[in-house]
Amino acid sequence: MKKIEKISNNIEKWFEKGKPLHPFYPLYDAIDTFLLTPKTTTKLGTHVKDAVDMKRTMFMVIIALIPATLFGMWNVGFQHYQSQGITQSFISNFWFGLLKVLPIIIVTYISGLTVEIIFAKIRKHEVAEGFFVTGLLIPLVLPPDIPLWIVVIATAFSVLFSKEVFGGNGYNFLNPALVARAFIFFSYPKVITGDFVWIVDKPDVYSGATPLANYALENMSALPSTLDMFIGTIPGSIGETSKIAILLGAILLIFTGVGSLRIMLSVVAGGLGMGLLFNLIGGSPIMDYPAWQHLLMGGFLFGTVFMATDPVSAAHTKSGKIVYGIFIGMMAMLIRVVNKGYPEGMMLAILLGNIFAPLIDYCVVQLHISKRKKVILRTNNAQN
Amino acid sequence: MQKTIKTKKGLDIKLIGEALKSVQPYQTNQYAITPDNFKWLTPKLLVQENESVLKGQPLFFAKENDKITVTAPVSGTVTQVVRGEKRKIEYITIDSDQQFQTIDLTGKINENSSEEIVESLLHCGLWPMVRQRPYGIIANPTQKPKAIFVSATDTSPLAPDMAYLLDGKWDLFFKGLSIISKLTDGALYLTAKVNSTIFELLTHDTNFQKQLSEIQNCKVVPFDGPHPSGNVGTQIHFLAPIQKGDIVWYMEPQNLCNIGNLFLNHQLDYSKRIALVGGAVKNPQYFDLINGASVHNLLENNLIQDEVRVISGNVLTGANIGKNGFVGFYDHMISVIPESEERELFGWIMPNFHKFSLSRTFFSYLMPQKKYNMDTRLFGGKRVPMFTDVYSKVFPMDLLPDQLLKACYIKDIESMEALGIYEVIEEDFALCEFVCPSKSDCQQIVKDALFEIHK
Repeated sequence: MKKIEKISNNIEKWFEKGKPLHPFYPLYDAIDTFLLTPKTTTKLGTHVKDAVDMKRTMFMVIIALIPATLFGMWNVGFQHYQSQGITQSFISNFWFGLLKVLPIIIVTYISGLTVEIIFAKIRKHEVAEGFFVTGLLIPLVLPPDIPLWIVVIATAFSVLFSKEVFGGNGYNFLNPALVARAFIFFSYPKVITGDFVWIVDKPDVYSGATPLANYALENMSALPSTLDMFIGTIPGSIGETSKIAILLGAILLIFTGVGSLRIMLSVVAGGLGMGLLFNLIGGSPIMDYPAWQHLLMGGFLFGTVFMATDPVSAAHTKSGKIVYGIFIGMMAMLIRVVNKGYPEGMMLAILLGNIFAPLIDYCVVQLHISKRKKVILRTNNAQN
Repeated sequence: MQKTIKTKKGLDIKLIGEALKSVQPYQTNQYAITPDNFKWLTPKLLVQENESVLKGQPLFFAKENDKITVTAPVSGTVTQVVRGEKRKIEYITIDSDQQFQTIDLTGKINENSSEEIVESLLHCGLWPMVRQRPYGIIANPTQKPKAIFVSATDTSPLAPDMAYLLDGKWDLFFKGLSIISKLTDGALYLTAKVNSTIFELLTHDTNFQKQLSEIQNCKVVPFDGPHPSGNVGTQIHFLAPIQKGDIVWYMEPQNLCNIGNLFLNHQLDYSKRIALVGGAVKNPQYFDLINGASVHNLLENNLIQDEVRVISGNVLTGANIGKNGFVGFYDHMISVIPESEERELFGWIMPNFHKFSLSRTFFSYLMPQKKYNMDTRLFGGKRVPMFTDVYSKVFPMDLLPDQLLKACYIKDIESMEALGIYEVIEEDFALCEFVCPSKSDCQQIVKDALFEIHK
């Protein structure tokens, strides 16, 4: 411990002002505070502090993402070998997926952190932890066969235009991971739609359609069983397939209080409500598809747990969070059922929710202000 | 009796180093008045270095209102006027001659009308004991408050037992209470936490009840809940919420004894009892002393370690006074906690049973009753505030703390007023600051915003 501290102190000298390595100080600082808790003490205000900080909070999200990531790696291998008609061991499946997914994760981090560090340098602040989460979320919402150069461009675009231009971490009004995905979707539609992208090196004869694609084509007989969709042995984006893994993450987020249970429940309620409404109207296989099964399809659950709950881009007020959640759930269903061209509504629904979040908050705040005025009047009258 | 104010939101930070119920008289030659104790007061000196002063002699007056003076707590010689940046006066130190010669008070103490009481308090230099909301500054003697609050239970970390602080001075306390009650046409609220010693006394002791019944507009209000339920801010919020233009006054219970002594015995009294507490103190206990006393001898041979932070007040809102500092004007406790710069390997992921956190990201949540020896580490880097559920967990008022802080940050006065800025001062945001994972300086933000409005 002391040894590391000493080494770090020695290295710090190279990055001091006036030394040739000074431009890279944010990089040094990021690594230093990653290894050791900062030595700063309280100056203004409270003399003692709660031990939690942003790093710990953010890494809770990363830990929550680990089950989905590991399962995603295995599933990439599993889907690949299954499409070729080969049965492989657990290890080989995982190994194949690891080799496929790890490069995507690495290039995402390199691309995003480069932009982050440049801005940390320009703005003279520490490198914020936010990107560590974004950098893992981006690969998990992409298909495994995505070309790496697209990942690099999309990540850089998202960090730059959804975050840094608005002032950096904590000032973004859109979820950066979804912006990256939307960027790819609109700029390179071919690589993220169709039946080929979801399974690595898929033979032409094998149908690689995701459940959502089959659903949109009213090809209900081709849908995998509910159990498969729940466990996650289906084609899809890397991290979104296994609902078990996502729920494990959700439990950690809810328990530690890092993810908002309020938002998660509201999104599910909104989705179920809208789904039930379509079930009531009925008339086509798409409309009749059971509302609860929608929760298992596509990125609905992943978006609910990891994307809609992003504290920065979500609504900030308590009741606003409920409205925001229900709005997202309903929009996701609406897009899925009505817009057959692109049935994965979750991404757009959350981005739309992000855009409306400030408006929702504004209404909640105004309501609170007028309610408070009445309470004050009542209290003052009662006491006089 | 009034309905109990029940609050659920808040946090009782459990620290080691609570004061034992034993008291010692404490004497020192070194005293000082710290102008910073009086918020936003610009001192205009009335004495010079090496001048001898009597007890009760004005040391300086407020530039804002020349009738408000701060007086010498002991007789002796002004040894030093310590100045800081821009020649700002930091301390006026007095070497006590232990004679306690007092200024002439004959004919100056009258209590027939509220005007006379105010005049007497101003003349004897006890007026700074009366503070006002909004802003938490010394009250303006020309205004009339709509209510006066005295919180008889402190709920802050390691707070002393108020009944023990007032022990033996109850007649003075009630005299002070009855004097102060004449200063408002509204109510005088005396609040006490349910099941505290003082609450039992106020509600069950017949002598106490008789004394209370003689003060017509005094209302005893029980409250219950975690800190900050004992802050007057929280209580005002529920009993007499402040809107633009409203004034509420508040006082510390021990200061009522000082005022009571003035009117009952015509004695100038600056004495008080304080608790010396905290994880770095060998023998945490109570001391009887005179306001402004140097803590130097108090701490000598009584510290567990050398590197400590000495705080006049509690660990959330107190001022860092250093080992040679002086007891703050309004404070009834000195907290001493370890100062530490210790770094920890991979602190962001370690399970950590020994660190306190409101969030359940540390395993220490498994031990809710554990008491901690907290030090001064920040435990993280400053970030843009991101998490929005955190503040409201420890903020009992029916206001929107996140939105209010944002409005304060950008100094948007219109929004601040709409969101209830007049109901809060910085101490009401102390717990928000404590739990903030982004390590924001919430108290400073609120203080700056209030200053902007006050200007």
